[in-house]
Amino acid sequence: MPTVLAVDDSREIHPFLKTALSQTCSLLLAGSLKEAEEILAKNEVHLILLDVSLPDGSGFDFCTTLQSQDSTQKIPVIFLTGKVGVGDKVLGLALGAEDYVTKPFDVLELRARVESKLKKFLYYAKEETYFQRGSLKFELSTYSIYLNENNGNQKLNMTPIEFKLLLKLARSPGYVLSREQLIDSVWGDSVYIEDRSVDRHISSIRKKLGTCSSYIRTVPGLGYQFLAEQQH
Amino acid sequence: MEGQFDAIQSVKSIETNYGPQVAREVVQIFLSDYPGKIAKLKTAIEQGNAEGIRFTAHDIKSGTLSMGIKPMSTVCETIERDGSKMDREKLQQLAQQLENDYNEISRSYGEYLNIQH
Repeated sequence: MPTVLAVDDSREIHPFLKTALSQTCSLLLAGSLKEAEEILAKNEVHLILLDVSLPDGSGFDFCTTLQSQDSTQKIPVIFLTGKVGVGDKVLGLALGAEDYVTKPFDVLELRARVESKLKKFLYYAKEETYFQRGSLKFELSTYSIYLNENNGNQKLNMTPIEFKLLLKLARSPGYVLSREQLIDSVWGDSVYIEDRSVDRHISSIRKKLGTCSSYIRTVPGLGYQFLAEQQH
Repeated sequence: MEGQFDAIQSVKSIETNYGPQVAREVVQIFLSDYPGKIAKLKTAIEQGNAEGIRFTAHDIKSGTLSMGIKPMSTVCETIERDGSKMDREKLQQLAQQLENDYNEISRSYGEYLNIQH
């Protein structure tokens, strides 16, 4: 089931959204932009429902930020707001939002709009066969990683777990991911894995990355961070 | 309250569209959160905090619109749109009207919750 993140600080909206979308998606709720950022760093989100007036900033600005980051720029955004002016609607759509829905919303209409955008997004997501970050090319269908250097592409001999770990980090460049987040993402939360096990895998990945080993930065006391874009 | 607003009818409408559990949950949030939101609006007016007035009025408008509470959303829309051109006295008058509307609606909502028990 796809995951939708709704960013709205009005608690009274949440029960409406849960009911409207319970059969369409798994719904994550954030009451602020800070919470939204944290959720995006930890979860794979397929669509964002975004309010405009939030306690810690503007949804318009946040949409611009999402569009500028590799890890979030493909996620469709639907503004869901009480701002009903034509100027606001035009601005929201000009910023790259897929849709602009005003409150009060009709449950069936909102569901239809969300389903329509999800269908489109998931169709294009399926089309994604590879993913490039810095000098690394991830071939998603074969779980292969290639290092692009002067003499062409060199296939790196990664295990499936190492592939998933590196992909998870590379999907959120700049974000510090904790060992717990990496474990949940790679192994799932029903398996007990020790933090040290993550460290061992990261160490092995670094060795295999060779000249690109500095792509993974250890953040003491927190976790790991992927930094390819800042360095290339 | 201006016009004929039937608070119980507005909850029944939520029940029809979303089910009784959601209607109950939304009414409970209204009763617990809105006194604080109105107090926040009054404080912003008292302090002459234009951004605080606009933000809080929008917040209340947005929530009450979704709950179908037209009298309150209309007052807040007026404050959000024209508040910067109003003097403190006029804003205080509108905030008081908002509080009166809240008090009246909350009585009906309280009855609704009692009937549900």
